[in-house]
This record gives sequence, structure tokens and C-alpha cells, in this order.
Amino acid sequence: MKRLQFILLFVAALLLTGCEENLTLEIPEGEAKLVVEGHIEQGAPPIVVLTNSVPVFANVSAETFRDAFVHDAQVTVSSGGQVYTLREVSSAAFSDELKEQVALQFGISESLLNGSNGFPFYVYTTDALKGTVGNSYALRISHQGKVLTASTTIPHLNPIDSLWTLPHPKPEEDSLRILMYKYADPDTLGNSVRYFTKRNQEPFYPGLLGSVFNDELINGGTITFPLDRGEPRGQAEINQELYGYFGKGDTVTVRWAAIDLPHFRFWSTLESEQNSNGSPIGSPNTTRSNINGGLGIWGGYGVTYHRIIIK
Amino acid sequence: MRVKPLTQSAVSYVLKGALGLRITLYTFSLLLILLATNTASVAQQFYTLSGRVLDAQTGEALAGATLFLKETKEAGAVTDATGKYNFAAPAGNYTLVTRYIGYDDLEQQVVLDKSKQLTIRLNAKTYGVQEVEVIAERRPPITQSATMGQLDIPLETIKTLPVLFGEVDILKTIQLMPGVQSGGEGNTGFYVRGGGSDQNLVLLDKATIYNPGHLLNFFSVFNSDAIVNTTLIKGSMPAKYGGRLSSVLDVEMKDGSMSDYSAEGGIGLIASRLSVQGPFAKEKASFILSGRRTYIDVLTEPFLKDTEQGGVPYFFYDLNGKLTYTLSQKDRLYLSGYYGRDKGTLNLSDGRFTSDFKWGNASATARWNHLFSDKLFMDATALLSNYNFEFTWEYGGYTTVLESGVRDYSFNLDFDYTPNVRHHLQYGIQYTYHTLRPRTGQAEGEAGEAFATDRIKPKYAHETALYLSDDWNVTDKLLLNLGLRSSYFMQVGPFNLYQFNQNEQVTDSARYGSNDKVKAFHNLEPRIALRYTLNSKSSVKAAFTKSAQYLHLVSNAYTTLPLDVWVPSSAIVAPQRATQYALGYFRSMKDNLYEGSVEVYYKDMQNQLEYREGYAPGPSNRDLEYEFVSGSGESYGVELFLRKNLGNLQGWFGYTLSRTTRTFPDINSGETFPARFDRRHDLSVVANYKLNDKWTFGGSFIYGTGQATTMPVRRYFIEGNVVYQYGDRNSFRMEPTHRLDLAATLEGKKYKNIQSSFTFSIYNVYGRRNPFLYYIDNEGTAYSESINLQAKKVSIIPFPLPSVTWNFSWK
Repeated sequence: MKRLQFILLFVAALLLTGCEENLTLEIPEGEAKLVVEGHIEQGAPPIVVLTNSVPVFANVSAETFRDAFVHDAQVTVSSGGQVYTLREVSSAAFSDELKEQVALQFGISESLLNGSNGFPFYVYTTDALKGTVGNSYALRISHQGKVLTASTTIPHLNPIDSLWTLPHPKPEEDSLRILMYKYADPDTLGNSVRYFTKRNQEPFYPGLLGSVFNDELINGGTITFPLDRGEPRGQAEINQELYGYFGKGDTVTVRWAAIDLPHFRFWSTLESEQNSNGSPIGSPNTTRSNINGGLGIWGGYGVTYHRIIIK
Repeated sequence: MRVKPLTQSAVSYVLKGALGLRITLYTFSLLLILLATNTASVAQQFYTLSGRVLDAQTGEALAGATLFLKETKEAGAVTDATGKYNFAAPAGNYTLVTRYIGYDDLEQQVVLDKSKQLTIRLNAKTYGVQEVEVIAERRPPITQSATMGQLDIPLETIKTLPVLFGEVDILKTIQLMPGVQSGGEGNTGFYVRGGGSDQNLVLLDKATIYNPGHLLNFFSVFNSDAIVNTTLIKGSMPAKYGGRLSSVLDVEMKDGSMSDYSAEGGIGLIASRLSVQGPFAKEKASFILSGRRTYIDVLTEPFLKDTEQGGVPYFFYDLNGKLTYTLSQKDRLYLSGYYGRDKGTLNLSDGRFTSDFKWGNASATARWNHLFSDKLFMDATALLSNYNFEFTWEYGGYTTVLESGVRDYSFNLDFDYTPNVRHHLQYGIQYTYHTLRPRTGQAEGEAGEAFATDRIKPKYAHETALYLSDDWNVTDKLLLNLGLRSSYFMQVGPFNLYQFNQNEQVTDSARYGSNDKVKAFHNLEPRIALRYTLNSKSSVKAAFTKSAQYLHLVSNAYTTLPLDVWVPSSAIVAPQRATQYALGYFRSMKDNLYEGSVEVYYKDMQNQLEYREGYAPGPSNRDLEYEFVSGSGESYGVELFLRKNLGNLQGWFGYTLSRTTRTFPDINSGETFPARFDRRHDLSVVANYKLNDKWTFGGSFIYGTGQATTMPVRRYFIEGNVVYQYGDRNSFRMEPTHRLDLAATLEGKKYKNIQSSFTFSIYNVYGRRNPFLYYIDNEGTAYSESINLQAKKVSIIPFPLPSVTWNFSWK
């Protein structure tokens, strides 16, 4: 009986899956491009990380990582007729506030930014400018003859209405809860949101399978929906049993960021690509950047925070 | 409900189409004048011989039977799918020979002093009594017709070839022909001469099948028990076919027997088939019913019901049926239909996500054949084609439905006219009313709140075509096929045309009422082919073909998917167009024991479609067409074909050397790039060997240049995660594909009225791991302890896969 079961399983698996093996590929180096990872949030300074893309199979080492940073670029942000020049700061020279902002906006833990452990990190920033809700910000970067431009806005805030929890569908899993949210979309089309969650003292993690959504189909409506717990990306395997759930007793903070449409498109195409990578029915696609002349994102966040203690 | 506007508008649009086609009519009359002037000089000495070839016992029509006059090698014919033949010869006394595979040759005396009609009945060979020495040819020598790149594939050949899971599949056999490429390992998708998979017109009893695959295209929708004839035209498409750029695959369903009841079927590894046929009025009317269903779901259910997955909740089935009715000597009526579905369910996240999905084709054909005289034959058909896809899921308190589909109502009136021995005319008018339902979604919450893709609406269109073609024997050596097709396509309302700004927000919209003209297109499609006979054994052929295509399907994935959407030419998308030039040398050797050909072609394609760079599939309230960009394509190549037609060992060798590129202003920075189905070398060797009355062996070997794909060349980090920078479009090649498949068929002893056989086959004999896709896997982040990048190859069926099928027939 066991044997028959095995054969049947085998046949079924055959029908639906294939096999995967490692491969050594000779891939051309391609042309290095400048990559922008830059954000501006209300009440915080603009922060821009500028790197070069490296060959896909370049050594994975601290040196490669450090060498990818681009130094001595001319970086400016203009808003409301004013031009602000951003200067380069290395992590060793970060102020406490900057450290906190970088950790929050770039998903890097504060301890890594303590400079002493040799982890290099460079940003361009300025103390002269703080983000304001509703304003637009034009970024211009010039480096060795290359000029990159981009613009973004910090949209008006779109807070969540309320948060509550529901039990796990299996009664025996009574330590796990589903987080639910209610969101009333404003009547203007184009509202987009990116969310992050934080459990207790952990850092904020964006939603794993999809951290952004857009009101194209729900414009002006009110929705209630489960909010999956954010998780770090790059995990070898997702724990299916725990995915999305929160634990009883957790203090959960939701970082709910209004973003503009190009910013939304960047994350939505990036996540779509990461989710379909390696899937036989997936569609390979490239991430849609809003940087003219380069790759990456210059995106504003209009953030509200919401907290719930799960009982 | 939709019938009313259809019937009203059908007539008016046929007329409107016709009015727009004045040029066509002029050309037609010119052709007719040409015809008339030629008629006088030759008409007197020639008479036509026409009729049907039938099975003497069952009264079934025999398609592909060969007829010739012993005394003159020039005159002869091959019967068409309905068993009809028609040819002319100078007046005289002759011996008419009729041959058909598996039947005894029939010789009869014919006095040709006037045009005659003759029904010929052949007796099936009684096997086992004596050794079958030679199997008569089913095809006319390839040197004879003017059509280029036409392949008739007899089902007997298909049935002896090795197949995946023992499921005989005509689409997979077609992929073994030169100029035809497979859509990937185990896949039934095919690409012809550099054309996309949407550029093949797939017909089942004349009705269009929009998605001819089951289970991500591992199996085709054609149940071999229900099929009698398959013709693939990849070169010079005759004028009667249109609406697609690259090829026509014309699949004909079997007629039931007019005299006896019989059944056949098979039990295979994953599916079983059963087909019954017989007369319901002897010699007058017959039926055939065929069904096929997979049973992985049923077989695995008891064993897997306690597991997390709960079984393999997926199956597909096909139903085919056909009624044939002989009204009189001159009138025949056919009613046939097909219905197939893929169905399944999927549950995830501890049952929080539940879904079920289904998709499939349906078609219906009503056909009336009338013989006005021995010179004029009419084929009137009314057709229905339907494809739809539906995916319903429940999650988070919402029920969501995702749907898409196509529905066609068509009416065709085709005539076949042989005024004299020099000319054979085909002309007609074809009309289709299309309803194309794009991918729409609707969600409804528990509290009754509802959201929908309300800006995406079905699109409606009228498609009309008028055609005329003439097979003109200019001299004994020169055969000219002149054809002209005039096609007209009109998108009509209800339709809202939106203008979008850069932020993809609506800035303006125009509303069209029901049946209002939104956009119309007209194309003249000349089809010219010629054959020049060099000597009794060889000929050269040349062809020039223009074609237009009004419906499009764009796919980004590694394989065509059931949720891919057909869209019409409209105010947003222009028709695809192609011009093809072909030249070939054809030779038959040793009394047609061998035949061979060399063909070269060049194809220029305009308004080809791709998704724009950076398109990611996802929910949207905008028509999919806005995600397309258009450009041009080019394909050229040389195809070699050598086939052994007779004897115990039969088979063919096909080789294609080709190049297919695309140039899109908005893709790859405007630089020309290889098409996804660009394949430099494509080789197939197919053989079957009849050892004795019990054993027949079959084998096939394929080799193809690696698939063109786009790979990441560089990487960078966003929030510490790896993001790829891709290289030039399709600039990377995967490993070449090659595979050997083998099969053996064992005929069992006849027991009472049951004849049975076993087919054993091994797919991928030496376990080649052919690449299906490449990707670069990554684990870890820039900020974590380690990060791992590894190139991976995904293969499907990377090991020898044996299967066995038991087939039977009962009479």
C-alpha cells in the first residue's frame, strides 16, 4: 500500500513539478549603472544612498559591498524653488537621529551602523531640509559626466481606520492571531500605500509577498482585510506555518506610508519580480525605476504609525 | 440575448465589408476573364471524373485515398477530408486505380466520353492472412500541388510514435516537422517560421480553438480517437484561410460509420478514452461520440485525503460528438461539437485561502455540403467557438472572481468550382462576430461592498472576408495558384475609449454606443503560389503570401497559460501583418518511395506585439492593450525534409536553419533582438518500423538550439535585498535541447470482436535534463551574515518516463 501511495504521489508530482539543479553560467559583465536608493519622509532629512551595480556573480564580500558605494557625487534636492546640496556622510559619522532614520528607511539594523564593526555605509544627506507632507522634491545627481534626475512627493497621510485581530482558523493554534485592518480610501484616485510591521523590539519589516497596494480598484471605498506580518527578505525558506500570523502578547506597530504612483510602481514591480523569480509560470520582468539615467528609487513617505497589543 | 444584435448586424456588416472591397471585386473579375479566355481552347477534349471514395463495409468516407488512371500518369487525385475527389482527363478508355492504406487496391474500367460521377467502395484488407508487402501511399507526391509547406499527417503515423504518458497527441507530432518549433519540453505550444504562438489558426471542424492545451499545454485538446485528419499549412496559406499570420492547423473530426456499430478506446497512465460510433439510419445517418478524462484526482484521493494537500484536485476532460446525415446523393449534413474543461481547486494558508478554477474550449459546427453539379460544390457552415477561463477565490472575507474569454459566431459560405481541367476555383465569404472578454475581476466583501475592474469591458467586433483562388494549369508544366483575400475588421461598441496621462489616470473618455463603429481595418491579402514541373520526378515551387491578423495574444511567461488573454484589433491595437516569400525544390524518388524538399523562406512581420519593458502582471483597471508595445519582426531560414513513405520502415528527417529577430522602438533601447522562439538549428528524426503483424516500433529524436532568454548581468541592493539589472533582451542562450523517445506497439490476438493492442513508450530515454528556464536564486541580504547567489536550471521530466496504454477496438 505504501508503495502504491508513493508511486501515485510520484506521478502527481511529475505532472506538476520538474527538477532544479545548480548551473555555472558565463554571463557577460554588462554595463555598470548608478543605483539610487533615496527617501524623504515628513519631518526627516532627505537620505540618498548611491551605488554602482556590480556583475551578478561578482565576489560576495565586504570589499565588493564597500566598493559599490559612489563617492564625491554632486547631489541636490530642490523643493519650492530652493536647492539643497546633500553631502556625503559615512556611517562612522552618523548622528543618532540619522542612524535611526537610515535604519528605518533602508532596512538595516542600527547595530551595523555603529562604524566600529567595520561595516561601511555611506549616505548623502543635509540638515537644511526636512520633508513636509504634500511637497514635491526633485533629485539631481551628477557624477563623472553622468546626470541622474528624479522627482517624488510626500503624499497626504492616509491613516488606517482601525486594527483588530481574529483567531487562527485552527482552534488548536490559539497562540497565533490574524491581524485585520480597516482602511477608508479617499475619493481621489492614485492613493498608494506601503506598509511595514514591527513586533515588540524587532525592526520594521515590509510585507514579504507584497508590501504595497494601490486604490485603482477600490477608489473611495472602505476595505477590511488581513495584514500579513512583515518578514525579512532573503530567507532560504518561508515558515509556512507562521507566515502572516502574530503571536498573542505581541506589541505590534504598523508603519503605514502613503506613497506616490511611481514609488508604488517601483515596489510593486520589484516584488512581482522577486516572487516570480524561478517560477515556471512566472513572467520575468524588470523593476520599474523612477530614476532617469539610472536604477533604483527616489521615493517620499507620508508615514503614520498604529499600535495594537495582541490579546 | 446577444443573438439579436448579431443577426441584425451580420447582414449589414457583410454588405458593408463587401462595399469596402470594390478593389477585390475588380481583381476577381479580372481573374474570371483570364479564366474564360483559357477555357475555350481546352474544354472540349477533357472530361471530369468526380465522386467519393467510401469504405465498402461501413460507408465511411476515406480521406486521402489516391486515384489515378493507369494509362496516363498526369491524371489523378487524392480524396479530401470528406472522401471527395475530382480530376479531369482527355476523353478515352482508362483503368482507374484507387488505393488507400489498409484497403485492397481497386481497378476498374472507365469510359470517359462525358463527365462522370463515380462512387468507389474499397474493401478493408484482412490482416494476418497474408503478409502485407507494400502499404500504398496516402499522399500525392509532394511535387504535384502548388501549395508550399503543407503537411498532411495521417493518424496512423501519429499513433505509432512515442508520447508522453501514453497520450497520443497530434500537436506534438506537428512539432517534429521542419519549420515548426515546440513551445518547450513536453509542451504542445508551437511556433511556425518565426511567428508567435498566437499566429497559428487552430481549427476543429472549421471552428477556431483559442487555447488548444490542457494542463499548462502538456496535452492538447485533441482526443486522437475523435480525429481523422490533420493538415498543417505553414507556407503559402490558401486564400480561404485567414486571420492568422503563420500557419493553419486544420483538424477534422471523424465521421461515424454508416453501417455498423463499433467502439474503441484506451486505458492509459493518466487518462482513459472511449469512443462509440454507428448508424442511426443505415447508410443514411451516423453518429460518433468520444470522451476522454484524466483520473489523477480520483486515483490519488483515497491515499492523500489525510495529507495537507488532500489529493491532486485537478482533472481535465474532452467530449467530441458528430452526426453525419446523407440527405441525398448531393446533400450531406454534419453536426459536430467539442466541449473540454480543465478543473481544479487550490487551498492555502490553513484553509484561509480557498479557490477553484476552470477553463476550456467549446465549439459547434453545423455544415451543409451540396453538390450543384459535378463542377460546383458548396460548403455552408455555421460555427460557434468559445473559450473561457474562470478563477474564483475566497480570502479575508472577500470573494473574488477573475474571468476572461472569447466567443465567436461565424458563418462561412465556401464554393469549389471546377469549370474545366485547367482551372479549379475556390471562393467564398466568411463572417464572424467576436466577443472578447478581457481579464476582468470582481470582488465582494461579506458586508456587501463590491469592487470591480469596471473600466475593463468586453470588446465586440465584426470580421468579414471575401476570397477567391484559382488553381490554374497554365501549361502541363506550370500550375499557378492565384488567390486574393479581402478582409475587413470592425471594432464596434459598446466601448469606452479612455485617454490616460503619465500617471495612468483617465484624462478623457469617448463613449461608443451599441454597434457603433469604433475602428475599422481593411487588408488585401494576395496569395500567389506556382509550381513548375522540371520532370516527372521534380518540381520547383514559389510562393508569395500576404496576411493580416486581427486578434492577438501576448504572453510574457515561459509557457502559454490558460489565463492569457486574446485581444482584438481596436482603437488601441493595430492588426498584425506579414509578407512571406518562399521558394522550394521538391523531388520524389524511386516511384515516390522517398520524397524530399528544400525550402527557403523570408518573412517580414509588422505590428508585432510584446509587453512593454517593466510590465508586471497584476490587478489593473486598464485594458491590457495599454501594456503592449509594437514593433516589427523578421524571420528567414532554410528547411530540409526527407521522408520515406512506404515499406516496413517509414519515417522522416527534418532540419531547419533559421533566424528570427524583432525590432521594437521601446524594447532593448530600439536595438534588434532575437525573438524568444529564435532557434538556429532545429532537427527531428522520426521513424517507425513494422517488424511483423504483432510488433511495430517507433522513435523520434529532436535537437534544437538553446532557447533565447534574458538574464541578469549585474546586481544591486535595495533595502539590502538583491535586485537584478538585466542584460540585452534575449541575448543569452540556454543549453541546447535534445531528446530521444521510443515506443513499441504490440497487436494482441483478436478475441471475439475485440482487437486490442498495447503501446509502450519511454519519453526521454537517456534522461536528458533539458532546460525549461534559467534563473539566479539568491538567499540572504547585504546586511545579514551571508548572501548566496546561484544560477539554477529548471527541467521538466528530466528522466526516462515509461508509460503503457492499452487500446482496444470492438466491431
